[in-house]
Amino acid sequence: MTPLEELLIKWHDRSLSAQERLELNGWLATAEARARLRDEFGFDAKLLAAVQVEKARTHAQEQAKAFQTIEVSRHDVFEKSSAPSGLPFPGRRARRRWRIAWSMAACAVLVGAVIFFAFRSQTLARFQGEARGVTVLRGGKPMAVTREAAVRSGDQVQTSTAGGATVVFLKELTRLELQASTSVRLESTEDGKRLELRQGAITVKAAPQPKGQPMVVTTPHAEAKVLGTEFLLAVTAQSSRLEVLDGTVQFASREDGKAVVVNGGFFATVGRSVELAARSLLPGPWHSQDIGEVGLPGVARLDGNRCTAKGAGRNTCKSKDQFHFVYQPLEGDGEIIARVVALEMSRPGAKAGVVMRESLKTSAPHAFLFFRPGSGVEFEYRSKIESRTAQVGSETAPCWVRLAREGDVITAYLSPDGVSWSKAGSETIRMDPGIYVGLGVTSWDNSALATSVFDNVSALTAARPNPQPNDGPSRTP
Amino acid sequence: MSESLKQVTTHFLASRPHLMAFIYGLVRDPQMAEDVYQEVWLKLANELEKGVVIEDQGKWCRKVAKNLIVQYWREQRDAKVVADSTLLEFVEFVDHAFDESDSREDRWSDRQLALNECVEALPEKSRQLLLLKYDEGSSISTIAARMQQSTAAVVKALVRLRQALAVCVEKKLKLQELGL
Repeated sequence: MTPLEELLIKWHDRSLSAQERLELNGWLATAEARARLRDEFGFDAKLLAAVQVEKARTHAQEQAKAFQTIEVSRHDVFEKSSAPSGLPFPGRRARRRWRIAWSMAACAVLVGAVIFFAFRSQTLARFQGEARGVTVLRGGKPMAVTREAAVRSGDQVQTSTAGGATVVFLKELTRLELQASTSVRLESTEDGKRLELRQGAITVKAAPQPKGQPMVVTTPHAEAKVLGTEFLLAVTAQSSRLEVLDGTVQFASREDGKAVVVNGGFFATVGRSVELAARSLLPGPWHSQDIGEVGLPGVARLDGNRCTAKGAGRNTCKSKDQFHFVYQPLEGDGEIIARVVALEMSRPGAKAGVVMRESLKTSAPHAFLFFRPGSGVEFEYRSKIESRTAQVGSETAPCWVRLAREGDVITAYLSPDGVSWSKAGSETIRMDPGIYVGLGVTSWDNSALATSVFDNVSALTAARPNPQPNDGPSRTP
Repeated sequence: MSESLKQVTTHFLASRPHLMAFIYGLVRDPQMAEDVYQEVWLKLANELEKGVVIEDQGKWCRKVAKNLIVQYWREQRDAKVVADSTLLEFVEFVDHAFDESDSREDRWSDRQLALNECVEALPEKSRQLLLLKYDEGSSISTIAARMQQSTAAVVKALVRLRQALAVCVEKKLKLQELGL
């Protein structure tokens, strides 16, 4: 008799013969075998999750390795530039001179390397690119900030009213974006990294931190403990507001110690007469969720009619879609308009645009008018099984996109300014009267998120021939 | 969010591992499993909106999922399962098996974390095998061709790998219990 585990693997593989299927059902007549089957199925689901985590971890490690490679190559450059270039040595005297020169150069390299590593060991992070209007206070004294300047533990970084800077931590992918009029102190201790936000706002993209060494960000009112996530923390005289885009942050009031766990897609505020609770970043009637098995959870934030959405997923073509969908329900005719401002992607195939969809199922009939960096705007639709895509424009971001539904006909429009629209395509797609309309973003990669920014987002309950971008009684930004 | 909806949502999320194990075990396709899971949630939310009181939520969700799964198999063109009584019998057995247990697994998140660590510690070849099987959803014959092995050898390797991982998880949990 074939062992149960083997039969289950073959069942998983859909390669059970008729005989083996009978054998499997025979096995399951006993309660003991059914309990084993339940455990096996549970184990399979966990194994699937573990494999996906492992894949994401390997990807992050590869990225981190690439970062370290740059550091190593810098040392190489340093050593090579200190060594004399090879020249022909004509006589014995000249050869001796060169030997002395070689020895001196080697000593210089050694001393240089010692100094380099001694100073480098104190370096916690570096500025990335241009640091505008930035002052670094080291031991209370202002330092000259150059491009890619080092930030040491204990340094206080300040930005002016028109300033801003990005700080990247060494040997990890943690990034800190300082907005204007911000003051933050960076410190590395045995317990982990400490960031003290005294004023302004910072966006932190934190790489997973070592066990028992969480990154802690404090403000005068609150403390946020981070394990590996992306969030925005802003402080004013009265309150501190935390918006989590990805991962989980524990946010606590320093006054009474009350804490709340804030997940991706939620925000919380600590301040006087403000209840400490996690609230959604999406106001009603908007919702967001991942469609299909995307690998990494997406998130969206809507501020007025400006939306930032992050999404993973391999694609949205053929018979199954994988993307992050920010949506609201639509009954009958209507339309969705947005301007794709930017799409920051990890893969060239990333897409962002407006979507109309019958359901939240991965293979639902849909229409997707999207912008893809490098190739312009494409109109993708699926009426039954497989989707089709047509190139409809060569625009670059920012670009205006609009989908309108009238009966079973969905029409795609493009516009240079949101005022005059030109028809880019039209398809008959049978869907239920009640559908979902909104914004979609996919990274073409299950282990990375693409970030897209939209503005002038509006959903209308009845399609009009030539809409204006900022009016309309039934529009719901 | 009303209090009852909050309670139902909390319960639905807490029993996700159990329900997903049932769905994924029968569907064997991560994307489709996620789809079925979402569909169950939509149906549950619809019922709640209508004011329907669901006594045993876990059982109700599994029943809805079971119907969706059978429908999925029927839609598979080449699955040779149309009116296949053996398959339907198997689905019933699985349903029965899940009926016999509590939907909230003991130390679920600890087990998941331990398994993640065990997978991370595997040799490259074994991790590759798991990626092919679970992430890419490749068939045994495809894996066998890629790894230049027989299908029987791949099945045996998977059985051994799963056993080794199960032992690894138990060891880690034991060490945790002992505070080591």
